[in-house]
Amino acid sequence: MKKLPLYICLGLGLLGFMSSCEDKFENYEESEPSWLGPNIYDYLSNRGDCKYFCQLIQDCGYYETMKRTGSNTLFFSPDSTFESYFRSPEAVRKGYTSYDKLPQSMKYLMLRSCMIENAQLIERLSQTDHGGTLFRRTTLMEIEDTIPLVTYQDMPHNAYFESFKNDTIRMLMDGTSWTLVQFFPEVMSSLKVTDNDMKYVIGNGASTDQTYLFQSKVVNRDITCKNGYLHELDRICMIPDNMAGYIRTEESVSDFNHLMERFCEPVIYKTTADGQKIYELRYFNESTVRPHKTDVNGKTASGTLYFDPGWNLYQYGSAGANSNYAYEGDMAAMYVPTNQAMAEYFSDDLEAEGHDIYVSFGGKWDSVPDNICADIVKNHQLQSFANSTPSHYGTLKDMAGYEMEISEDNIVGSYVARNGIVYLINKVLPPLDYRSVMGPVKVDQSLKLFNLAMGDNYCQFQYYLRSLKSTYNFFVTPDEYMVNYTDPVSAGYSGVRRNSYWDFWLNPSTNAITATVHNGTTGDSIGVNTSGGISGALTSRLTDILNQQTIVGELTPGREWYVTKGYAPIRLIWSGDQVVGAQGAGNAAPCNVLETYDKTNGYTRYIDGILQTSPNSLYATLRQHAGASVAGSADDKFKEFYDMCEYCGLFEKNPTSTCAAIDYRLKFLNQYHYTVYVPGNAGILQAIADGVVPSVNAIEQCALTAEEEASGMDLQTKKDSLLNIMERFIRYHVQDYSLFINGENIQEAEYLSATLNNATHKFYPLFVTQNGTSMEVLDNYNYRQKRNGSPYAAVKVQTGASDNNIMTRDLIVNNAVTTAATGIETYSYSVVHLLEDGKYLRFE
Amino acid sequence: MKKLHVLGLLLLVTMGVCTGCADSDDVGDSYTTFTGQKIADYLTENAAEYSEFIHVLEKADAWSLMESYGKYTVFVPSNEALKAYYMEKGDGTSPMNVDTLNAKDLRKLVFYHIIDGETNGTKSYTTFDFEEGAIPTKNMVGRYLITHFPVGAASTAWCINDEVNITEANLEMINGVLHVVDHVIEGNNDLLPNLIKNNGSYNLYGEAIVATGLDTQMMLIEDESYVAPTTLPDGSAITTRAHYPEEKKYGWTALLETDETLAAANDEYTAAAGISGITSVDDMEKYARAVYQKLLDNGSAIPVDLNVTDRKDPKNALNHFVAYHFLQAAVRTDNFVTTYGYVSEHAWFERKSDICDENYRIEQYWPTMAPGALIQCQKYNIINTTDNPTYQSGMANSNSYIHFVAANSNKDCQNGYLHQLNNIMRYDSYVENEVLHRRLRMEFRTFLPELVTNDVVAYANKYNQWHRYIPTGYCKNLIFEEERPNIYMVYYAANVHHYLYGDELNATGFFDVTFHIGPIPAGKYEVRFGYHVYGTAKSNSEAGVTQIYLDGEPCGIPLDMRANALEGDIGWEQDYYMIETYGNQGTELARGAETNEEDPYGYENDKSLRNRNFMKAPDSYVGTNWWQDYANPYGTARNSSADLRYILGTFTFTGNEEHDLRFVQMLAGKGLFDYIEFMPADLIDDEDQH
Repeated sequence: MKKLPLYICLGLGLLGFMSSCEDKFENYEESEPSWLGPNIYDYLSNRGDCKYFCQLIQDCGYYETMKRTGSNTLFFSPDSTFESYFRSPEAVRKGYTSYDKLPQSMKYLMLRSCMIENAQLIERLSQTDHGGTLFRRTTLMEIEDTIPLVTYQDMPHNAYFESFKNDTIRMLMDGTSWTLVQFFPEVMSSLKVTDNDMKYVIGNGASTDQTYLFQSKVVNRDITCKNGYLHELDRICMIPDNMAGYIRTEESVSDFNHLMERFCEPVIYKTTADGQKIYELRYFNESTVRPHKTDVNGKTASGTLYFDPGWNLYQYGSAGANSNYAYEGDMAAMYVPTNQAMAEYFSDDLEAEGHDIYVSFGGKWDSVPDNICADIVKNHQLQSFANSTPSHYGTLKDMAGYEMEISEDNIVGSYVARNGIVYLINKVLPPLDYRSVMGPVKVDQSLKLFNLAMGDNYCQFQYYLRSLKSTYNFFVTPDEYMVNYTDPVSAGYSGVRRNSYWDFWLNPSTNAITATVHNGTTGDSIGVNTSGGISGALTSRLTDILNQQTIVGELTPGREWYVTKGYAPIRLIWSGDQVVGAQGAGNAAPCNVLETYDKTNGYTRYIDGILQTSPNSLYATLRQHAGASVAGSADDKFKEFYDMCEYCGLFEKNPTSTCAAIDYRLKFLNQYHYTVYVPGNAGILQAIADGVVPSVNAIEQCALTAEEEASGMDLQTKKDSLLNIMERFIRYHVQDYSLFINGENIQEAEYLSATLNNATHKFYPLFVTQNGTSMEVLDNYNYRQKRNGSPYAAVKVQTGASDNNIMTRDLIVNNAVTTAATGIETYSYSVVHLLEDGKYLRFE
Repeated sequence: MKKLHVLGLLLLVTMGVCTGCADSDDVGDSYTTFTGQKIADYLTENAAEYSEFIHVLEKADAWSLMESYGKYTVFVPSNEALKAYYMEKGDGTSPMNVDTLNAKDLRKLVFYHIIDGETNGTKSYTTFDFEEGAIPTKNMVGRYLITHFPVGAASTAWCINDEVNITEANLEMINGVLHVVDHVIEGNNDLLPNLIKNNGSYNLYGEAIVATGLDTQMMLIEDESYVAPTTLPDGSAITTRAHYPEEKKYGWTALLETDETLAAANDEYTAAAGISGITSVDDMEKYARAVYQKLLDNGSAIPVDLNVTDRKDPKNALNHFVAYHFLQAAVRTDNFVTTYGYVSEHAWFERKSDICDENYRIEQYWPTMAPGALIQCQKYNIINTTDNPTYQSGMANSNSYIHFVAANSNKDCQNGYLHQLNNIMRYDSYVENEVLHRRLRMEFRTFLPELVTNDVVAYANKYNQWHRYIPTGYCKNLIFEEERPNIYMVYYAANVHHYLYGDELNATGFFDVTFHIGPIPAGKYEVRFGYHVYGTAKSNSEAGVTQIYLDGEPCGIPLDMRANALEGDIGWEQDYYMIETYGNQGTELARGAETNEEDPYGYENDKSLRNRNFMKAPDSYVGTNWWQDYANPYGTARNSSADLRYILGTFTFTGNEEHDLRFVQMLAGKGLFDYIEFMPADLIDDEDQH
């Protein structure tokens, strides 16, 4: 049967050719083939159960067309479906309780929306002229067949409609053609829609081998008449609303609609000859094909959706070379939360996901800024129906590219609109950023500086914090506390710029972060810094702050010291299992935790200050205790160690030709965090006495032995060799990873020192135990002793308040001359511990 | 309607051809269209020897090919060869009458002998282009012609498909090259299980694959449901360099010992099994049980259960032993191991074989049909050894290693290849605890056998067909959703780029890609991801920021794949001594990178990079850093600041299992997946830089 019509076409085509040669056409005017049925009108009339449809054809002026001429395709429905419609709540509401009460415009709508030019079978209707999938098609319905008169009450509620307060206007819900949506077997197969998907799209019992026009089932397809094909529906086919229209009128999603309709305005569709204005409703959107980003006044919209949910001819890409992007191939999808879901999300319940937004804006959606509302609304839009059906759940991505957490259990209803499908859902799908530790920052208007700093124009930090399966503790500083930031780079400056501090503020006219630079001594303003961008000087400082204020991983109640994402040490103050304060090494006192939000990937903690890094380099720290010979030295507890470092030349100013340490840096440290175990003076002397390391004097005064002289060795080579022993001794006292007393509890954990084993090309290890109140180090020599069952001893870290957990930072700035530097090039953090008296660490 | 168009087109083409012929006749002596001899001319002039082939060509409507321009490689059977063929195909007493065959069947016969270089964008092949394996371009019926050089043969006397000898080679005509052969070349139309059963040398395996039911798993030829997209992801037209795989064929490879080899088996496992050689399937099962008994006694997690007696169960010892001899890809011997020596013709790779192939192990791995069991292979197609074999004359025949027997390998059929092994291959304690207990560096394509079976990988693409887009679902171990025009994946064949083994796999856009990788032997590993950075800095990179997951667990915070290693938060430094053997000391390869004389071999830098979860790329393969560095062919990947290894973490695998490695974009951009490393934790302390 399917092939019959093709034969007809071929036959007709052949006849056409032949008729030009031999005029046999008249024969067919007199006798019709037996397989041709009656004309469309007669077929409907003869059935006896299509009186309303026949009347509709007559009333709309299509009697002649359906009786005699044309080549038509018509979707029709019998009288019983009309009767059902007249009894429906919608018809009752509109007063359409009998055929007689239907206005003419409604009759046009009922008929023309079911008429398609040319005679086409369902199978052929599933294809475009180019052989592509045809999911949606336009009809003979004219856009201006029905132009609603809209009263103010029925208009969207936003400022753009204020001027129509006492008016009724003629307004199209969209100025593009309406489309039929064809859930035909061939189309569903092509779009890879499954039977299970159909359950949610059409309803229970639906399957992909059945034929539906919107949600109306074709119960009798491909009825052949003389002048076209008929397809019988199980209900009246009237083209439904577009997605925006449905959302606007569906009471169960009015809260979502309330947010969405902030982003629309009436634009003039046309002005009639008599001067009457006809408007078209447009939603602000950022689609590539039909964007609308500027309002009628020329002002940029305060928020945009991904696409206009009212756009009848919705398509997600330009047709161009690939016809898949045209409207025929697909439609949009929207997941719209019910009012109950919106209420559960936007609540003062601490567990509610939108609690932070609720709190920030006084529990009123109307107080939530447009940009946030737009973010939330558009995150419920998806560009493709075909790619977002339930069979895609589990891998479904939102339009920003992030996983959408949705399941079939979340769907409570659906509506096939003329431009897309609306799934009603029982949860809100906020943008990923709002669910992460960034969420509070994005919504809280007191955190504008932090919000900007995380973004693309500055530190691009959001890409790290977006990872929902990682865990972060994100310490954020409200704008009012973004002051008194000690610029670490300024420690290398001279004059009034030296040791300056910055106050950050938002320039309202440029929406840019600005820093006022103050004289560190007098407090006078000495300039501003606005250098943003990915490599700007201001960005360099903000990145340093963000790195300093982010801990990756879980916290352990009571544990004081942590290393942050930027490798800086940070001290937490606990009250029970609550973090109540945080302190950087450069803060005189802890900052207080003001508020804490529990987010999907960690905690966002508001603090009343900026966590500052240590202003002291390792060099300066050692030197401060290097004895009377060094100006400003407080005591001499690091003297021997410092002298050795100096003598070996381990402090350097310029690591490369383009950068410089603020004062000096320990040259083998990199951008990481380290622990330096400083033997006391007695410890060094003991090491010398043990022959583990030569003294400075021994190197200075060394002489060649007779054998060395005989072997041709020169004195400098011997000195270099001794110097190398000294350097390797010092290096063994420096390990990767910062370990603190009352940091992470560890038991004989292995770390690498900075001394290379020349035989294995690996670095000698050392083994550290820390229990919250004390720390001890088992060096490689003693570790081997222990392993061999020989006597061994670990070396304890001094427990005196000023003898451990001494924080330092070697800062390298981006210019060989520190006074000309503008930003941070690299850095290393070290925590210094003094070893117990008379002890040192040995690797062999 | 479609057919109508095709018919119309044919009509037009025919008309065009006719018109062309008429014009050609008209030009008289005014123009010389051809100079020199065409293949048709040569055959006509020597009709006494080739009249039968001419006849068949004419009957097949293929004679015009021999007259037209092109780059054909034609294997011409002599009259004697064709007569012998007719007799063979006859009824036993009289020969087949070729005139009774229709043009379609005749074309199949003729086209098997012709390679169309022009259409395939390559060339015509002389025997000097031949290598052990196959001619790189398929013949006109889409099959490879297998080439083998018999020991002691004359310089051009190559053997084609093992049965056909070239008797006269390299007759170069203006439209191609002609080789005279002594037999008709026929393709085997068996499926692999039947090829094994019918061969005659593998009767034991023939029985064993039936007993284990493995034969039923190798009956497919092609996924007919696969339809290659007709445009590129951005909607533009397919080009000669960029396209989707045209088909999706299934393929398997059998690596088998002959009955004779099995019968001669005499080792610790025959002793343990109490057998004297393997002469029956029962013997084979006893042998397998002995192998796995020892393996399991040594604590292996191999999924074999000696209590399972059902031979069709993958846990059964016989089943696993036999399955270990089959790869789930159709692999010729010349595709078995990729070395660097022939990945590109470009000058900047001229030292690649010196630096890499001759100095370092090139180890690759093949997953097999046996769950949890890998095969390791090295250059010269040596299988499962801890040695680093360097080339010695005659090693291909040495019994010191397991290797292919070249003369009896590359037996092709509809869905795979059969290769003969010289000795018994087994997944035993030696393989698991020694051969595979080392750094397992695996290219991502290791897990994508479809790319090999369907010639998406290097060799078929040697001639500038670089890009193959990989559609969703094409590879069972590659899970992603293509979303045109933004998200797609593309494989770049080994040709011009400087990644491990020259090839690369890219994803673009806001991708979410999962690779199903493995199997990896149970144990504790440091797992690393080898990748390439696009651009010289974050500010100009095309890459994105990616969260990586292994078996569902996040591997640290997202990796910023935009960051060039020279940027501060990675802290890469150029080695002072680039490489000991060939390097110019201190040469500045990576732009702007200063060398550190006090850390001449980069040990300190290696440590500090590791602290930040990075490692330099290995120094065992050529790597460069953008085009201006190509001028110096001595640099290895270790000297490239754009090639890095990212340490995903330390993981303990309790079984010989496969794993899911997932890459999810946090910021859209390109991602380049080069290789993955599994480094046994106990070997890290002694790890080299290779």
